[in-house]
Amino acid sequence: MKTTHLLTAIALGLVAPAFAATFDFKDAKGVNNAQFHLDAPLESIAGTANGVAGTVTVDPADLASAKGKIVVATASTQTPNAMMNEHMHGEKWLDAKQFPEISFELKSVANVKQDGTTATADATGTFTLRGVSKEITVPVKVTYLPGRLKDRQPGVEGDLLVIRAEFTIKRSDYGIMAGQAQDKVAEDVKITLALAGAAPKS
Amino acid sequence: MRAVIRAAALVLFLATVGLWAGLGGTLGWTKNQVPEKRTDPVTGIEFVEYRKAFVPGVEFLALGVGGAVVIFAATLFVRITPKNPTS
Repeated sequence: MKTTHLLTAIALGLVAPAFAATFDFKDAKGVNNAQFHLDAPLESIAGTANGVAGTVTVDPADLASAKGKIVVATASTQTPNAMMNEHMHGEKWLDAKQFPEISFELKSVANVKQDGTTATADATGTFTLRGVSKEITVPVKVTYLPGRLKDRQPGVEGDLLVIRAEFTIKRSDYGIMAGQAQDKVAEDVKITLALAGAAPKS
Repeated sequence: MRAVIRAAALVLFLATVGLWAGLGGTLGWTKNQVPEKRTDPVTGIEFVEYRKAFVPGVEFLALGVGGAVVIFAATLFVRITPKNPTS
């Protein structure tokens, strides 16, 4: 009987049901990107990667419920220098042939601070680079843009979820020329993510 | 002959410096593409688009200027004898 009352209330819009949507981060426009930055003696190395894919399932009103995985194609990493790209994709560095994906699999979200449609939180998950997986915690900023999908994809109703994150890893932790070339390329790699996921309404 | 080789060294030096400066040379590494920042109007996400362009860097400068110096220096040490020496 109680269930019937609850369903009736939901149907009448009197009670807001939990709303979890799956946001797809594959982006044909090439806007979603990861940027990386390393210090080097002559000139710091700055590059980008835009081969982003993956999904995150989340109730925007309850960020702690989020689960998902973001994947970046290793071969999509690039710098302004063609020779540097060749080295970066080669066996000694990222080895794009053997390890075609860099990924972050979300396990839990904590310290959520909500401010309207924007929230900050600490996302903990498994970061995999060059075949080495480590659990890391990353501060994230999430912005929920309800009904804005049609502004990116005309004629398609739905929502957008924007995730921004910035964190630093040590390349030696992931077996990238560990203990080598430290006079040429810094040990710390700063990674900045800016991603928008789309959840079309069916 | 020595003067011709020195002139060639000078031409190489000037061409290198001229090209380096004219193509917007950088004191970093040579670039084959130039990153240009864009902002997505809907999400506010900043992203980079690459424009194909050749921007010579220090290795380009070093190769050209170094080559010119080597050619010039060679004229100081290499003895050039005329083809038909007169007695």
